[in-house]
Amino acid sequence: MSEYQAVALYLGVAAVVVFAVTAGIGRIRAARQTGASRMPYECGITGAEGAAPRFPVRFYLVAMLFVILDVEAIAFYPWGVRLRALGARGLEDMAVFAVVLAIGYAYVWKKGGLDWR
Amino acid sequence: MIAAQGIPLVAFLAVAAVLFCIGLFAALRRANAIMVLMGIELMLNAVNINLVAFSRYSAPADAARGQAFALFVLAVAAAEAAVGLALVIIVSRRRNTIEVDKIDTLRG
Amino acid sequence: MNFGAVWPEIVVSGVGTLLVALDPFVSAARQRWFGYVCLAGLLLAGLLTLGEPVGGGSVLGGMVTLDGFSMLFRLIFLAAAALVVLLSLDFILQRGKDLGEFLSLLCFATTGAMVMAISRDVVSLYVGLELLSISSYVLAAFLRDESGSHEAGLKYLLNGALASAILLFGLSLTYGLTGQTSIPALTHGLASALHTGYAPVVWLAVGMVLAALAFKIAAAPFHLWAPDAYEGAPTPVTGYLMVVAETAGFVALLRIVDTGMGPLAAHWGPWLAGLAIFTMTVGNVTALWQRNIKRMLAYSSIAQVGYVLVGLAVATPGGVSAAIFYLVAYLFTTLGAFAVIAALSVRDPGDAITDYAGLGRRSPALAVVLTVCLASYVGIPATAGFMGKLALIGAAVHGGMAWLAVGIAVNSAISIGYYWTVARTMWVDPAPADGGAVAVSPAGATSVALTLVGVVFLGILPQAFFWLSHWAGAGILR
Repeated sequence: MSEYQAVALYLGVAAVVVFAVTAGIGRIRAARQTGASRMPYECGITGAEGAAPRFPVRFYLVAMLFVILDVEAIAFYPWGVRLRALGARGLEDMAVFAVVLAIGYAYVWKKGGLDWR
Repeated sequence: MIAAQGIPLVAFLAVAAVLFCIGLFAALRRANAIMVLMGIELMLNAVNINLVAFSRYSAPADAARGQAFALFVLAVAAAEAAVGLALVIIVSRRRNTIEVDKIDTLRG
Repeated sequence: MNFGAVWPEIVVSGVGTLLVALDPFVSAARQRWFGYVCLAGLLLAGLLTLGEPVGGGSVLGGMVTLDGFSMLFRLIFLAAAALVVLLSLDFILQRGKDLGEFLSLLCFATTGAMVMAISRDVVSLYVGLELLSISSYVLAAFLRDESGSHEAGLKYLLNGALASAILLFGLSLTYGLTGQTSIPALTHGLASALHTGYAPVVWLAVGMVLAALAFKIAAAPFHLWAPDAYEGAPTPVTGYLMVVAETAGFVALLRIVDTGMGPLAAHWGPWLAGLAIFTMTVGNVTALWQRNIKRMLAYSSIAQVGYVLVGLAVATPGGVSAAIFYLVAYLFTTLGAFAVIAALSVRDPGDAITDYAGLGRRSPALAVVLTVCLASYVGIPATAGFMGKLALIGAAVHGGMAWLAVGIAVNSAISIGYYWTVARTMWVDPAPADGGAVAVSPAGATSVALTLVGVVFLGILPQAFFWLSHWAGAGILR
């Protein structure tokens, strides 16, 4: 269990530091905040806009389409592991899978889901 | 080999149970549709930890079954999340909110 | 491996894929023939199902079994899908939507339900359930520009996905307890796990599976999503969800709980009985206050779920076959009501009960069919619902739960209140000045006529279907 003792020690130190910083920072900072002390960075170039701009919705659309492709690809892993054992029949089955997937993406393409307008 | 690593099955199950409860809490709090979807994803991840841990420890003769189940869960979860996000985008475009409690045209 | 066993599923999903491939090349206004392609595919799948040998053995690596249960429920889902195709053609085309997209989603959802019907393993059952559910979420939100529809889709998805996650956690525990995912193996494994010190885990798993499936069939107190989803979804989709999605939930309950957890029936039976009585009471009492016909039928469907649960709660072969018979009766009754509502809302989207004023004079045929369906919901003799309730009451009495039979009778009396309101509005209230006769398309008229035949046939000559549901339910309880 010695590895766990190291992990426990690490967690303990992390907890102490986090609580000390969040609880102690209010006691040592200046009472009033003005001007430069309210900026995200105290020196360098002033930020032009907020740190969390809104992403365009079409980004999510393309991201979702990619995630689907990405996750469908895991169906190829079990086939890849047993490639030789499954033989020609496995190849046929995966070909059917790939064709159905391709029809889905052809539909998305034709309907304009991939256009980055 | 399992014994040499020294991590008992219960440790995996505990992580899964904690993850499941966090996810369930996020889903039942119903603050925001995205939060609910994220909570559900956490719950599904807890399920996957369970399945893979069980396939390693309690069904070594038939280990592939649990792992295959986990692969199916992953693929289905992605499809569910994609449809969920698409619906959230439609709702946020039409109503400018994704707070679940404010989406309430239907009631009787 | 032999794929012959699943040709009906391959045909239905193949039709769905074909429609996805064709849809972008045909403009929305010229897609009516897609409906006939879809109907032909469903008919072919039905014939292939009928042509299969019913051996009860397992195929495809133990994932699938071809017993009477899988045969009957495949046919139920195919029939429901075909009726919904008929009653949705004009509804969708009139709104200028892509029929191909709609029908392909319907085909995929039906494939999912059929996969559930033939599953002998929780993995394939889960994949079928999710194929059905995810397609249903999109179908519910299909009219995405209408505020009700996308709201219905989102609420249905958030609740359905939560239920799936809870179901899966329960199933992962049963896998851990037994080391198996096949349903017959669960039957033995869970009973022995109970006596080897894992009882709390068994109860947790059973509880999670029961709660999640109660969510899926919209049993009270897990029903709160259902009225919103059913009211907001496009009318043909509402009919589809009430019939196919709920029946599929019962398929999962029968396979996982009645078969897989069968030896524990003495423990979960009383819980299901409580769920049944609570569900039917909540559904019927809440339905009394509704002003919208779809919302009223949503609460009515919750009440019907309560009736069917009686058959499962008694956990006897008679109860199972009564539940299966009631599900068939419920299919025709609900789709009959929705065929009329969809025919009326092809042009006029009003769903308030007051919109039905004077329907008896404007369109006597539609009003008669809707009245017969409402009578079947109540359980008036010579309708399908009467025979179904009779079977359920008999099963409850023989199963030693006579108080459930009393519950069904009292609830049927309560339900007369709101069904009567609709009937009186149709036949007694005067029609609005601008209300002429309602034009019904041939497809719509066919769906209305077929469901009417089903409701009356099951009410007058039920013997054949009693025999079928008995045959289908024979292997469920071991």
